Formats: sequence, C-alpha cells, structure tokens
Amino acid sequence: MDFLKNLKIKKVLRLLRGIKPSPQWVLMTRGRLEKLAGFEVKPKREIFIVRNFVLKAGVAFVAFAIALVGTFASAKESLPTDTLYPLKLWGERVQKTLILGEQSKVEFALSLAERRLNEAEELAALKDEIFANEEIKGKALAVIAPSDSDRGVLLAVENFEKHLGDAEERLAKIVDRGNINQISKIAKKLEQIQERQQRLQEKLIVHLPELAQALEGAQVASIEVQRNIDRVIFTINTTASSGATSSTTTTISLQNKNADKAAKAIERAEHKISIVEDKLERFINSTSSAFFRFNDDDDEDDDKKSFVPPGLLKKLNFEPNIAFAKSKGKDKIEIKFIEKDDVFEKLEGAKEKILEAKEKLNEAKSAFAEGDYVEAYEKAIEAFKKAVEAEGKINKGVGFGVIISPDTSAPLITSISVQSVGTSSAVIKWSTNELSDSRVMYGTSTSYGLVSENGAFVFTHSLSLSGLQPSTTYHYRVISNDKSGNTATSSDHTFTTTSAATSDTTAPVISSVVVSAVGTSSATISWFTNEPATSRVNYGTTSLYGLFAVKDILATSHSITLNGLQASTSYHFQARSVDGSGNIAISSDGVFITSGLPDTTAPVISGISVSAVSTSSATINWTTNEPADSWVEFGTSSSYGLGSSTSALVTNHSIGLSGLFENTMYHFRISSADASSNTSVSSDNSFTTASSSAE
Amino acid sequence: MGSVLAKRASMEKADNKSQAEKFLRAYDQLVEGLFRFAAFRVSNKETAEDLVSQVFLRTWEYVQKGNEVQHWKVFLYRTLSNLVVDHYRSKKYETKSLDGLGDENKFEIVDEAQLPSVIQQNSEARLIVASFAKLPSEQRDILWWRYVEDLDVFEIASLTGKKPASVYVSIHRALKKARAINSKK
Repeated sequence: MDFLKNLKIKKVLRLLRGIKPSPQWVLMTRGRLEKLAGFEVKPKREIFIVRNFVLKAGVAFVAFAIALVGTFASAKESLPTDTLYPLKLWGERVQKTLILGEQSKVEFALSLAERRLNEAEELAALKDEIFANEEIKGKALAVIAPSDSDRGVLLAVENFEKHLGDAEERLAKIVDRGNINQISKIAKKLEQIQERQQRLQEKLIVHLPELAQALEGAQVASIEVQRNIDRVIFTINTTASSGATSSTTTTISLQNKNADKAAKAIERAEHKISIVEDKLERFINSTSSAFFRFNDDDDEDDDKKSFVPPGLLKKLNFEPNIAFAKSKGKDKIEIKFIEKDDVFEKLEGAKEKILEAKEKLNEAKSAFAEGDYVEAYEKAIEAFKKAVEAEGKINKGVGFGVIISPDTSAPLITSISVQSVGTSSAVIKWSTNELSDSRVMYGTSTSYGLVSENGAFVFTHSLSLSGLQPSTTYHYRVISNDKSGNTATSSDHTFTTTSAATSDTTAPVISSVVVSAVGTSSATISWFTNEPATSRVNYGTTSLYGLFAVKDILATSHSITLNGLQASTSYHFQARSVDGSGNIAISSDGVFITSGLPDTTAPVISGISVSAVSTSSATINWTTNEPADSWVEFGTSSSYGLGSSTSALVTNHSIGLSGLFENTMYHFRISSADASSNTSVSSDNSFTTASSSAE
Repeated sequence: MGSVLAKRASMEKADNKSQAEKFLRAYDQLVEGLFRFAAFRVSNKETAEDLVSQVFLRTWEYVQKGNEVQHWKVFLYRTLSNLVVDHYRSKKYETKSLDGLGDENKFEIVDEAQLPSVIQQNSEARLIVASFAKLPSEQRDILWWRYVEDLDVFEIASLTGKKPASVYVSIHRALKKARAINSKK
C-alpha cells in the first residue's frame, strides 16, 4: 500500500509542474539575456527556441527513424511505437509482481529501466544510420507532427523514468537494512544507467545543427514512409521558400538485418528454454523437500502463519506440505503452508508450456533455413514467450527460493546433568541442537528397565525421575527424536540418591562479613559460609532492620548489593544464610554509614565580633556552622587592601590583626570556605583602634 | 557521485558550444523549473520572477569573469536557493514586526487558483499538496527537486552537499512522512 501511496504522492507532485511562468515574461527575460550575452538569433532557428527543444527535436528524429524499421511487431521485441508495446509493458508488470524480495525488486526495476534505455538507444542508433546516408540528409528532413510514433517515444522515455524512479525509491527503502555490498552494487548500476541516459541525450543533441541546416532552405517538408517486409521506401517532398518543389524516393533494404535479428532471437529462445527446463527439473525432483518463498507482500491471511527463527529452517520438515517462508526483518521469518498438490498442478502446466515452446522453436529454425527471416523471428519470439510463461508457472507454484533437503541428521545431545538428587527423586536435564522429544531410560543396572518421557519437541529437556530408592546408584541414558524421526541416544551415566538417614542439622557458619563499595545510595555486603547456603541481608536505619535483599542461590561466597539507601545515613545490617536443609545462620549486627552527598552549601557565618582592640592590633572572631578556613580582609576604607588568614578548617574562627594605626577606623570583611571550597563572605564591618592619647 | 557529474561536465565541454549558447540553452531548459521552485519558496509570482531573473544575471556575470559552469542545472538551482535564503534574510529586517512574514519555511502556492486545475478538481490531490506543505523544509525541497523538477539523485546530492545515499534516504523518509501526514487527515 505504501508503494501505491508513494506513487500517488509522486503523481500529484508531477502535476505541480503545471505551475508555469507567464510566456511573456519568459520571452522578455530571454530577450534581455540574449542582449546581455551578445547572442544573435537566427530567425530560422526559432522553431527550436522553445522549451525542451532538445527533446522535441530528438523525438521528431526518433519518430522518423522508427518509421523506417517498424517491421518487427513481436511483443517481446517491440519498440514503443508498436501496437504490441503496451502488451510488453503489461507482461513486465506481471513479472514484477512475481519477483519477490526487496533487493530483487530494486534489481528488477533497474533492469526494466535499462531495457527502456536500450530501446531509446536503439532508436538513436537508427538515427545515426539515417544521418550516415548522405542522400537523405542532403535532401531534407521531416518534422513529423505529433503522431502515434511520437507518443510511443514519449512513452518509452516516461517508462524509463518511471522505472528508474521506482528503482531509486526501492533502493532508498533497503538502504537502512540491506546488505552493504548488494546496495553498493545496485547503486553502481543505477549510476551506470544514468550515465548512459546522459550520453544518449548528448547524442541526440549532436544532430540538432544538422537538422536546422537541412530545414534552412525548406519552407515545408514532408515525408512518406512505406514499410514492406524486407525494405522501406520513403519519399521526401520539400517546398523551398521560392515555391519550387522537389521530391526524392529512397529505398533501404532490411534483409540482412532481419536475418541477424532472427538468428539472435532463436538463440535467445533456445537459451531461455533450457534454463526453464532445468528449473522445472530441479523442483520436480525435490518433491520431499520444503520450498521456501521469501515474499514481502502484505497479504493478511494470517491464520496459517507461525514465527520461526531463521536458523531453524533447515531442520524443519514440512512433509507432506510445502512451506512458504516469508521474510520479516532480520530476526524472524514467517512461514506459511500451502498444499503440495497446488504446486504440482502448476508444475504440470509449466511442463506443457515448455513443450509448446520447443515446438515453436523448431518452427522458427525451419523458417530460418528457408530464408523466411521475419517468420523465423516471430516464431522464435513466440517460443521465448512460452518459455517465460512456463517460468511464470514455476514461480507461481514454488516461488523463487531455496530447496531445503530433508532432515536426515540426528539431534546432537549436549550438557547432560543430574540435578536435585534427593532420597527418592532426581531431575535429568540435557540440551539438543534442534527441536526433539525427551526420554530417559534408567534403572539400577545398564539394562535400565524404567522410562520417563515427554513427547513435546523442545531444545532444553528436563525429566524428573521419582520413586527411587535412597542411597542407590542409578544408571540412565537420554534419548531424543526429532520431528523427522532421527534418533539420538546418549551413553550411560550414573547418579546416586542420597541416604535417607543422613540429614543435615548443622547451621552454616558465617565468616568475614565485609561492607564494601559504600556510596551515597548503595553498599555491598559480602561474607562466606562453610557450606552452600542462600544469601540474605536484613538492613535498616535501626537494629530492627525492616528491609532486606535476597539471593536464593546456594553458594559459599556471598555478596549482596543494597540499593536505594539514603546519603549520610547510618545503616544496621545482618547477614543471613540458609543451607539446603533449612538450617539458618545469622551474623551479628553491623553498621555502616553511607557517604554524604557532595557539599554545595556554603558555610553560614555568624557571631562576628572584634575583641582585644588595642592601638595597633585587634582580633576578629566569628563562627561557622561547618568547618571552614578563615580569611579577613581589612583596610582603612571599604576597599580593604590588607589581609590575614589561616587555612585550618574550624568552626570557631579567630584572626589577630596587627600593625594597625592608632585611633583609626578599620573596615573589614570575613570570608570562610569549607572543604568543598564553598565560600561565604560577610558584609562590611568596622572597628576603631584605641587612641594612645586617651590613656 | 562526483565522477558522474564530472563526466557529464566533460561531455558538455566536448559539445564545444560557446558559453553564450550554453547559457541560453540552460535558460530554455531550466527557466520554467527555476520559476516554479522560486514561486514555491517565496509564494509570490512577482518576487519569483525577480529572483529567477537575478539568478541568470548573476550567472552570466560569473561566466563573464572567465569562470566555467560545470553543471548548469546544479549551478542555477544552487544560486536560486542562495538567493531565496538572502531574500528572506533581508525581508526579515524589513518586516520584523509582522508575524510570520519572515518565516523561511513558509509554503503556500501563490494561491489555490494558481494550482493546475487537475489538482484543484481532485480533493485527494489537494490534501497531498497540503501534506507536502507540512514537511520540514529540507525534505520538502528534496522531494520537490526529485519529483517536480525531476533532478536526479546525483544532482540533488551536489546541490545540497549531501551524499547520494543520504539523498536516497531523505527522499524515502520524506515520502514516508508525507504518507503519514496524509493518512492522519
């Protein structure tokens, strides 16, 4: 649907081309530019001074050329002017819907674009031929009014562009998730095609002056083309401006060209038939296999879909169905089933078509031998068409895809282990590399005698054995069958059940309780036990705890990380371990303090006082609410200029100032920075030193 | 990508036409598209005509100075893009106080009546044009160049200074977005 919507958007965008400047303005501006560029306009050339004149002139020529060689009218080979051309396009569209997978779609779109380009190039080559013929060139050239043939060429150009656009768009679609090599290959191809398109355009331009020259003397020119099977006769009539008319007739024989073409067509048909035959052979001979089709269409028939990881594909056996796999991204492949009979019906149809193709090919060969090249060519094309139809039937039946050979390899059994051995039970576990069922044969000797099984197809197998005798050695082996009935059997293994009498009543011993990695919100508690036991830490801000963290794995080395703690908080904790028999050990209470949050608060300065004021000294005192250093700036004005400090971090600060003048008013200011360099500065304060004369 | 445009340029050279001829040929081939792009960016017919005339005048001055234009289409569209940006910058000064007038990303077709009648008569097409107007300006330009003016990816890459691969991606994303906007309606 996206594709269709894109097409719609593009179509509307193309319609915007209908916005055009006013012709007067275009002409006027051109006139100005002509003057500017000192360009003289020859009146005769005016007919080319229209927009897209290159294309128009090119089209006229090409159309003329086509008139010469439109002798072949077979769909596959038809050029845009032929009546069968739409049929050819239709055929390609059908083919397109059958090709599957994003990358192949890009490649196919490119190949279509290339085919269109080939057609255009072929037409251009014919034009060269015409120009090589001095006789024609010397006489006159025709400007053919828009006709069917013009439309044909335009159609080819348009189709070329459409396919190229399609290819580009599809390429964009897979750029994000495609294979890099593949993409760069496609991009290169795209580049090549665009270069060729450019060359073709250049080529068309080359002949323009000649056209102009040929028309120089003529007022009216017309051409009549008569096409026969083996030759083309054309008559050129010109009327000069003087009123004199002239007429020339020229004949071009097409015989050799036809022979070449027919031979090539026969060769191609033969090749195609042999390819299709091979393909059919391959599919018919692999009837027991599953066929996979990688399809990207969004059909909503979901009821038969299932998801399978790609690695599994090879191991699935869909007998008696045929599986259609559907590619879905990188990690999943969707599988659909269809009836095998449907497929064979299609394959039968393909067989018939191949026979018909061969018949046509023989007809073509005999016609060729008789010298009837046109007949030979047409028969060869028909043969080719039949072969393509056969291929279409094959593709419809089985899709493009991989043939998967039937699964004949047994599953591989690995990692056999016995777990939870008790007095009367045990669990046997193992893995297989493909889906398979589970069976354990066991007994007190290697002749076994007892069986436990599970028919489900799984990768990891687990079967529990019960009703065992205590303190007894059991022999066992495991067996797995895959879906195709391939069986794998392990070698003999043993285990011994525990004694009924032995029961563990000793609690584990906890040792080396360590608190580590204490952060602002987490801490790790580690300890050892002398026997395997579970791990649990009870913790909280008081010795009543209230919170806990648990690891239910039997181990001798324990480590539990507590998260979500508060910063700068003291936590009580105890370690607790329980062994396999339920004996509990608990450590004594421990305490740790989480780290503080980074300090971003400046100290608060308070209680500023001045003491011991004398004639030449004074002491400044203050307190801070957290340890901080001490700075006093002082001076006779509020711009200070003198300083005294200590770097010790204290809360009660006292700084002595000396060398003061007597009877002088001093301004001072305090600053204190804590350990994290958060600094507080007081406002301005002042004191006056004592006066000596006052004593 | 560079190689493609370089090759085209060298073919153009081999064509051996005078600069004046090439210049006028470029005019004939590109004037319509350039006008369309200008009209689409400045939403005013007279301004668009003015800008396009300027593009050609400046280009001719550039050629006169002895410079060579390697790839006309890319050169002219790039010159036009720059002029459109300049236009909005100067306009922003003039009409600072009027809301929205200086918005470079504004998009309106001159008026509905200027739209081709095929679009006017089709409500779906009108919706698509409206959704196109809502795309981010860069994606809009790229879509415009690609599908309205039919520039190829290499030309757009050269025009925007992007890599061809990322132009592909932009086209794809822009279409996706246009689809999304359109289906919301």
